[in-house]
Amino acid sequence: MKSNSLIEGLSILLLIVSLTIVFVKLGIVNPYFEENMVLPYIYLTSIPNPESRYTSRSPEIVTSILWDHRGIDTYFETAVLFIAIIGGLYLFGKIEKLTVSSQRETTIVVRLATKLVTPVIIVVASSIAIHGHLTPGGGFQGGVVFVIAPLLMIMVLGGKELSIRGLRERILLALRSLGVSFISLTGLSVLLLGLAIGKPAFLFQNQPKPGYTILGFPYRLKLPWGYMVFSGTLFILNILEFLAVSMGFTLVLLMLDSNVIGGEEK
Amino acid sequence: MIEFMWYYILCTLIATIAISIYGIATRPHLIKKLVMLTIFTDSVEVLAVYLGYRLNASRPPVYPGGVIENYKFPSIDELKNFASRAVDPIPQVLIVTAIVIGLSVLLFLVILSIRVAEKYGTFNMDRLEESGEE
Repeated sequence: MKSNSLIEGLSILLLIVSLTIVFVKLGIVNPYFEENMVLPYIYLTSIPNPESRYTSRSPEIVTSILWDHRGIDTYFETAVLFIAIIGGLYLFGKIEKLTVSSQRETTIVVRLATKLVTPVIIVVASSIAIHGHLTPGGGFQGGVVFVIAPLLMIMVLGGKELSIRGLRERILLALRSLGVSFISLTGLSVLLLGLAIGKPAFLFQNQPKPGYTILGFPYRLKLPWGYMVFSGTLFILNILEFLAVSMGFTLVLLMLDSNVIGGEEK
Repeated sequence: MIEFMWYYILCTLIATIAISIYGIATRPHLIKKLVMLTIFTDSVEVLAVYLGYRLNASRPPVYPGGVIENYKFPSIDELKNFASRAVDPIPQVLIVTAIVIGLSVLLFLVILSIRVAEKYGTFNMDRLEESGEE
């Protein structure tokens, strides 16, 4: 019996190694950069270039692809999370008794450390989201970092601590819906303006396209203390996505926390 | 040497994926299945980002010199130099989408398993079949 499982394990290992070698030999994976990798090369050279037709005038390539070139896809992916939360709330409304939470209190060390660390987490998350078009990061990444703060508070201080600070279920759902609807409004705005004026425009358009249309968001704003680069819709969509993702996952954590009975008021 | 390490980590990631699929298929406990599913999605995501990494081009896909005030636009030569040194940005974009969708699927599955446990009193798939036969 033991030698049998040894042979099975060895054969699986052999299969994995040969699979990797086949991948490498066929050229599916390649550890070195080559000029014939067309798609990343196009993205990397055209997005920071202001004269290109596919430009976003932003140094951050990942956020630009996410919200400018694949904007509709990202919007529907946000909708998937929204529908999962709605379905979860519906199913939780039918559950009568949830698992009982333990009644033991955490120690003073953990509670004090949580109170000190939570504001820092929130500030870092906001910074990641607001600078998403200039530095690595963005709305999703900032939102997911933000969720660590309510997770810590629920685990250490209890779910009631969040509702004392105003993060109640209905408010979270409202903020989340607000974020998603403003994302769709931002995506629609240039198209609606184009339809009203009678000039070409498209869904989730970011900036004016040279040779196609002059409509679009500006890439920088003049403020009293100087210019501020915000790369058209990228800045707005990052902040709205930060709101939607952080509030959505906080709502999920509150739902899974046993103190809350969601779905209907009792 | 570094090329050997590249292939070694690739093998490790594929092995993790294989083991997690084995776990999903054989473990009878629902929560263990979910844990294995999480390991599976995470290792697939790490594998995708890993395939975008290049040994001779390992800078992040962010054009250096981006500042809030008076952003200076790069020239064509600088851009070509940048593109030959930066990693592939497309897997990273796809991963951001995959993480959020994976989390929503996980949330829905967790809630469904809580419903199952509430109705049958167990998370164990084997005992579920027994209680169904009665």
